[in-house]
Formats: sequence, structure tokens, C-alpha cells
Amino acid sequence: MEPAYDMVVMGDINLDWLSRGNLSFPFSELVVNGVIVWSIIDELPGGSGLNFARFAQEMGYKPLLLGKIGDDPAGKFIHEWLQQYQLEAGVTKDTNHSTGKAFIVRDKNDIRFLVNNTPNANRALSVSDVERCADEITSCRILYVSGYCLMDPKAPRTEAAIKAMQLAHKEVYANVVFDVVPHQFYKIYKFSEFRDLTSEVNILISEVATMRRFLDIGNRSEKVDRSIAEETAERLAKFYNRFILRFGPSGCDEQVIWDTQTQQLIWEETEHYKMQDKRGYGDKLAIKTLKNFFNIAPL
Amino acid sequence: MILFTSLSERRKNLLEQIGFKERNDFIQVDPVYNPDYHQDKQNLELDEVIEKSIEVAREKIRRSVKDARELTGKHLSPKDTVVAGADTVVYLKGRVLDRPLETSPIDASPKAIKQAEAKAKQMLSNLRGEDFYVLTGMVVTQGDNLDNEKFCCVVTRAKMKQFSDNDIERYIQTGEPLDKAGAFGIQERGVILFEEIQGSYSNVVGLPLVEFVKLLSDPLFMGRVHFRFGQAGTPKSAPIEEAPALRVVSVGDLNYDLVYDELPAEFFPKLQPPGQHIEGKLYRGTGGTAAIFAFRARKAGFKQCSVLGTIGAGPFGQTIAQDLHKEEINILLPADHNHQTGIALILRDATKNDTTLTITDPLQSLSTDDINKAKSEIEKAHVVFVSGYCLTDLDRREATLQVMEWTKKAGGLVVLDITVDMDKTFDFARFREMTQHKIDVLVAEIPTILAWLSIKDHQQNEWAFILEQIIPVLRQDFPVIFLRTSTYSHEIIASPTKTLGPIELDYSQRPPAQRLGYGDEKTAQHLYEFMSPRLLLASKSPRRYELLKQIVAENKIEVLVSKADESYQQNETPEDRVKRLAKNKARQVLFTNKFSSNIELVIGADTEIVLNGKPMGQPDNDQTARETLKQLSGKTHQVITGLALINRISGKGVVDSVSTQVKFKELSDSEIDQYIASGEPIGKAGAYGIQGKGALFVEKIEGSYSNVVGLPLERLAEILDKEFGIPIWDIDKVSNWRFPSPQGAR
Repeated sequence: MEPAYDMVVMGDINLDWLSRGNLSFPFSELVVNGVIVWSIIDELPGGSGLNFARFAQEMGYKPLLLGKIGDDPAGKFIHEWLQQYQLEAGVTKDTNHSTGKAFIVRDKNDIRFLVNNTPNANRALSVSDVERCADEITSCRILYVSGYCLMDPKAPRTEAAIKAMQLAHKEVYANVVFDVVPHQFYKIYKFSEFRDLTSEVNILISEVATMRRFLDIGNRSEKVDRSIAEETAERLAKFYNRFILRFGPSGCDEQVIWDTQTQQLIWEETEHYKMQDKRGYGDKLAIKTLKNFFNIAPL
Repeated sequence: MILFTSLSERRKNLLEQIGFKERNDFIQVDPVYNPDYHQDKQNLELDEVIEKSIEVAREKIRRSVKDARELTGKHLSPKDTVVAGADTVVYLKGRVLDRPLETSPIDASPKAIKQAEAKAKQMLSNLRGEDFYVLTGMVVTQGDNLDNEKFCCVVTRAKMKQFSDNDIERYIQTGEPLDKAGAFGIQERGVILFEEIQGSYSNVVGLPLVEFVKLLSDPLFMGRVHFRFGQAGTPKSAPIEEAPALRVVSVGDLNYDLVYDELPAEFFPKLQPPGQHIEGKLYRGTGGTAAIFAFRARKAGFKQCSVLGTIGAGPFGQTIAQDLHKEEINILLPADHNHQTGIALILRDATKNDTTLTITDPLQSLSTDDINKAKSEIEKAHVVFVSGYCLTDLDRREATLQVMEWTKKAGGLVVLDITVDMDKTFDFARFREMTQHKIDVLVAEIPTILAWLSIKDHQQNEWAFILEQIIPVLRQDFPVIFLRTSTYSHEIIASPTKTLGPIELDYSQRPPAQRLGYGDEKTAQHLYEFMSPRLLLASKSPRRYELLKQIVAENKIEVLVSKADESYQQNETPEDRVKRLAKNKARQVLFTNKFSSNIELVIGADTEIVLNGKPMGQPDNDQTARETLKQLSGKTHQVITGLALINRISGKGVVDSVSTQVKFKELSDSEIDQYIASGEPIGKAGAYGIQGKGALFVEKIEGSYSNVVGLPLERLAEILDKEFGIPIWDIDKVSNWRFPSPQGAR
């Protein structure tokens, strides 16, 4: 029998509030007293897990989104939205924590400021939640794990993500894809720790700069270009068989993709700069790459 | 059925007082007739006015009968219907005093109001200290058979006090005298202008009840009028609210707020590219100008708070509704299924200067349809708070101005909170024009006002300049002003006559989490202090409460039932007894200390009916009531009320008594039995209520009518003004604003 899901997605489920456009002044002008800005606020379900699952669904996959939301208005709002897309099956309510929320503001100079509530329900995802979906994980083709799942070593979700990656490899079908977000991941783990954590990972997705910090090469002021990216890819290939490395001003203007099995390396210029709606662009790019380059097509 | 040719609400109330029911027993029609008594002659004798008033009543009947025939195409059957006409006039030294304003003050132009005020002033000056007459000519006919009629005219003599020019000015400012014949309303605050009346009180109100019933009882009208004297109960007084339920409607934004207030000091200036991702505790809350003020108003003491703003039907709207419900705040509009709930993101750093960035979406709305749904609540509100955003937002402006207008017409207080940068939406001249006569209290931050007035060379803390130059400018348009610095370091409060401040505020000493809505908190506290009760009535009598409400706004009165001992003492005169009991009641209540913190004065009263020097008491059964009424029948008795006032702070007390002579008509056993059957006599001094059906036993009074009911308003007002400096005219007016503290008053 064909499994119900070809992909299991683990990552944040958030309610995002984005102030549309940029503020008309730089943050540095905020010196004294209150400033009130009237701006359209886009209220969108988001988060690394939810976005990835939704985009994968758009591209033909049947994802099972595995995560937690709070028993609060934001959770209710997200749950109603997930139901619309039939993505709610793996999402459970946590009564002790509020739903993950984020709000994002960009100033006149495009400096981005993001506030994320912690603790939140995302981090409460536990091993038992994962075990309940063991069949789906072992039978899927892709297990996508967002780096946010390992961000807090003390949170139950870290253990849950490791458990999921182990389960995925009980059978031979699953490709464990690990997305190294956020960028400052290297501040939490040493490279050796990171390698241990990602020992079950088949495909790694990361910004070049993040890996360079892990590998302790280059410096923060360097401007990542193709040669730097290539140097990074060579070093990384010693540790990971397949990966996608991205770079450029937006973080994903170009990418280098490597597969040790096929010894294939390709360069790709993305069209990020052309996009009107840049939200989730990195996720869409990753799914496209999994499908077209690594040939992990939907069932 | 009675067809009454008058639309007067006062006459309707009098008919209902004695048991008639509108639509069952009588209907009112408008005869559209305003005769000029002086059309043919400048000076009239009393007899001429009597004759003329009957003729006017007759003409009203003629016109009404004709109108009814034209409207329905049918005759008013003389067999089932009586038609009643009445005309009440005030007569002083050869002149009949009409109403200063012919139309309703609500419909009158400012010019017409000014002219009416001048006319009222003249009338009141002429009446001052004078004896004058109130006459009601009455005619009753058999349906449209105008030949079968009975008529009479009742004359009551009254005397005004020697009130001052200032009293006249302030009475006129209340707006009450403009549409009243003779420029006084004896059923309203105008009662305190009276020295005494001699004759029928109900005649002064507009329909002499005893004589009217006498006309109806004529055999000519037998079987046409169903008189319910002994059946229907007297209209009940409204239950006493111990502390008045002050109502606030807050008009503005309703938002789902997300607040992060743990940013390090000077976070914003130090934020470098590409930006920062912060994790921490986000607070969720219900916010927006309407909600925040409503929360603060509840905390300040306002019992009934409502918000007028829009929320969506989704989870965020539901959360806002739940939050407001928890605080017992009503939402006047239903959740809108086509509307997304407004969201505000609030970022606050930990600097002393309290840097905040609030990003809010422009999703608020308020349409004419919306406000129509809330109109009755708006008109009931004591205070309507309006956020400036409702005026800067074009989509809400028209409806908001309408809300302000309704509030003013209904006698509520309009508070406008000027929002930051409002000066950038329209200039000050446009603002003044738009809000003319619609605002009672203006709340603003000083920099906004300076910007509005194009003042660039002065700072917000130059107090001499603000007090001497800015306040007088604002006073031209706004009776009361709360001005605050943008850092909430200081505040100035200005009323039409007094200025307090700058007062130092404690904003900077508060932890950041307790700063949200600080300005609203101060505004709500000041408003509550002004609006809240000042007088404590130590009485369980709903009649005294109703009387006090006649001269003092309801929200200024709190009631606490006294448990003082009311036993008789030997060799005590009735005057001494009522004074002692009034004083005991006031003192007992004062010592309980179970009343609002703003109470200034306690009022105690005790009323006794005395016949031939003997107190008649309050019957607790039908038999005693029957005996008492038999004793009073056909005789004149005295009604004595003792009055005691004690200042809560200073302890100063004033005790007095007032006596009124009441002449009863001869009562038949049948009348007494019917009256007892109505249940009215039990528990009332002398076994009758002059404010109820008992009015039909009273042939004449000499003195104060309100004293007979239980509280001599004329004397009470004098004591309040002269002994305690509380003038009745403007106790609830913004001109008499109550300041938070006497220190610093200029």
C-alpha cells in the first residue's frame, strides 16, 4: 500500500506579523518617547516547518507537518488555516505554552528586526509525539528537519528531532534533509557537536557563511563569492555527501549543489532579486532542488 | 376614553400619577394652537386671563375635534369619548408670561437661543421676589358635541424668592428655563427659585388634578371615563441605586496588541545591518485607544463601560471580546464577519525616556450604521471618550462627530483625546471649526498643541508661557483642558475658572510594564473625581431620592440607608423631633464610612405629619391608614421635614426644619376605601402620598410641595449654597470642575 505521506516536516509553526514595506525612518531615529506608525500588518501563518510543508504541497508532495501549537487565539487561527490545506493531521495542541509568534519590521535602511516569543509551543514537541508518527516517518521519502528544532538543546524538541532522524533510517527510503537555520546556529554548537547531531542527515542545506564559521575558515568581514563558496564546498564534502550551499546579499542569490554519489556539482543563480514576494523563497528553492537535482520526486 | 388636547409630557405624568393609563384611558393629540393672550390688549386683569384661558382650552378642543374628523373621516362619538382641553399660563402684574423659546432648544438656532436667553433673563428678573399666579383653564366636552361641556379655571398663587442676578444667569445656563412658560420649571431645578405656593401644586405643573377629576365626575360624562383610583397601583419609583452607575462609552481603536518591552536601553539607535533576531517574552493584550481607556475607566470607578469600535469575528476578535467581558466592559457593536481585527505591535526599550515603536494597522472603522446601533447607549452615557484617531481617520470622522453631537444633546460629557501628530492632519482652525461646541474636555500633549499653534520658540516645560499664553487660547473653545508633557513628567488641569498645575506626575518612577495607558489612567481618574457622587443621602425613601434627582444630577448622589433609632422622646416638639432624627440619620450613615471616597456632604431628613399638634405617624396596616385619613379629612394639617447636612471633612453641620400647610378635601368612606385598596397609604407619613393618587385629596397647600413629599428642595438648595458652597445650578457642570487637590491652584 502506498504510504499516505511522502514527506514529514519538522520545524516551527508560527503566526507571523509582518509590517508591510519599510518604515519611513531608520531605527536610529527612535530616541525618545513613542512613535506610532500606521502600516498594514500582514498576519500570516509561518515558521520554518509550516512554510516548508505548504510549499512542498504546492509542488506536489504529500507532507505530514509535525509540530505543536498553543491553545490560544493564534493557535486557533493557525489550526483553521492548516485545516483548509489538510495539513493539520500531525499538529497537536500544547496547553502549557503559547503558539509561536514572530513579528518582523524593516526600517528605512532595510535593517530587519524580528522578535520571536519564547518559550513557545514549538519547542514542546516531544519524543512521544514523534513516536506516534513513527510509521509515517519510516515510510516517507523525505524527512525535513529545520535547524530551529535543535536550537534549544534543553528543549524536548531537540531530542524529538534526533529521534525522528533515527527512525527515518530504520528503513531505506527516507532522505533526511537538514536546513541549518538560523544563521547563528554555529554559536550554539561546536562543529563536532553539530556533526554528531546531524549524523543521520543525507542532505544539508546551509548558507556558506554559516558553514565557514563552523569550519573555522575565513572571517566575518569577507564577502562570499563563488571561489569562497567552492572552497567551502570542498571542505564540507569531507563530512557530508550531499548538500546545498547558498550565498549572496539575500542569503540565497546563488547556490552550489553537491552530490558525492554522482560526483555532480552544479552552480545555480537563483532569481531571488526578481521576486515580488520573497517570503519562503529559500524553502521553495530547496524543494525544487530536492525534486530536480536529487530526484526525490513526489509519489 | 379621554382625548386630551395636549402633548405635554408633564400632563401625561400627572394623569398617570392618579391611575389613568395612556392608550387605555387617554390619548394625547396636538391641537397646534399657541394663542397670544396680549393680541388685543397689553395689560390684562386676572379675571380676563381666567376667561381667556378657558376660551383657549375650548379652542384647542375645537381644533382637535376637527383634525380628528378630517383624519379619520369619523365623528368622535359623544357616547364613549370625552375631549379635554387645558391651557396653563403664568400671570404677573397684568402680563401673561409665555415661553422664552417657542421651539425645542434642540432644534433652535444659536441666534434663537440667545434671544430666548435674554427673554428668560427678563422674565426671571420680573418674577424675582414677586407674588404671581398660575392659571389653568380647563374644558371637557362629550365627544364632538361641544355644546355639552363643563369648564373651570384653577388659580394657584405662588411666590418667588429674592434670588440674585447670578442665580438667574446660572439657571439660564442650565438651559432649563428656555422652553418653560414663565421661564421656570417647578418640576426641575427651577423649584429652588420658589418661596412658596398657595393652592394646587399640580396646577403649577400643568393640570390641577382635583378639579380635573371633579369635571370628569360630572354626570354629563358618566360611563365615558374609567377611573381606576382603587385598582391600578401608583407608578413605582425607580429602585434606588446606592452608588450611581456611571456610564462611559469609549470610542476609538480596538486592537489585538503584541508587546515586547524587554529591549535593552537604547536598543534602536544601536541596531545595525542586517538586523537582529530577538527571542523573549511577548505579551499579548487587548489594546487600542477605546479599550485602554475603558480598562482605565473601570479601574477609576466607572461602573458601566462600553467600547465603540470594530473587531473581526475571528479568534483575535473573540479574544478581545473575552478580555473586555472579563473586565465587565460591553462591546456596543457585534463582531464584523467582513472585518479583520486590528493588530498593533509595540516595542519598548528600557530607557528612562521610554522609547516605543508602535506599528498598528489601519483597519479600524466606524460607520453611520454602526453608531446608529449604539445610539441609545451613547445617549445614556455620562461620559463619551473619543480618541483623536477617530477624527484624523476620514472613514470614522463623520460618524464620530455625530456621536459627539448626540452626547452633547443628551447631556453627556464629551472628552476628546488629542493624538500625537494630529496637528499634521488638519490645522487648528479647521479642528476648532469641526468640533465647535462638541467638546467638554480636551486632553492633549503640550508639543502637539505648540505645533498646532505654530509656536516654535517655546518649550513644553516653559510653564509661565503655557499657563499665560496657551491655556487662555484653548479656553476659548474648550471648557476643561488636561495638558501633559510628552514625557508625562507634568500635567496642567484647567477649568473655565481655575487652573491647577504644573503637577508632577509619577510616570518615570513606574516600571515599564505599568506605563501603558498612563495618560488614560490620569484622564479617567480626573473624570471620575468630577463625575462621582458628592452628596450622600441617608434615607431609604425612593421619594426623597427622586426629589433630590430633580435638582442634582443622578451621578452626584449616593444613597445609604440609615439605621438610626427613630423612637419618640417625651416632651419633644414635632420640629425638634424631625430635626433630631434627621441629624441622627446623617450621623449614623457618616460613621459607617461605607460610601464613595469623594462624598463631601451627608444629607439626613425626617418627615412628620402633624394634626392639631399631634404626630400622625406612618400606618403599617389598612385599619390605621383608614383612621388617619378620616382624621385628616376636611382639615388642614402640617407637614414638617427636618433636614440635617454634615460636611464629611470639616464636620460642619446644619440642621433645620420646613413646614407646609396641607388642606384636605372632605373624604367619603368610599374614597378612603378605594385609596386604601390601591396600597399607596401604607408606610407613608399621614397615610397618603401627594406625589401619587393622594394628590386627589389635597385641596390646597401653603408652602413647599417637595417638603410634603419628603425633602424641601428650596431650603436644601439654600443651605447647600450658602452654608457649604455647593451651588445646585452647576454642581454637575464642567464650570464647577472638581480638582484633584487644592495645592497649586491659581
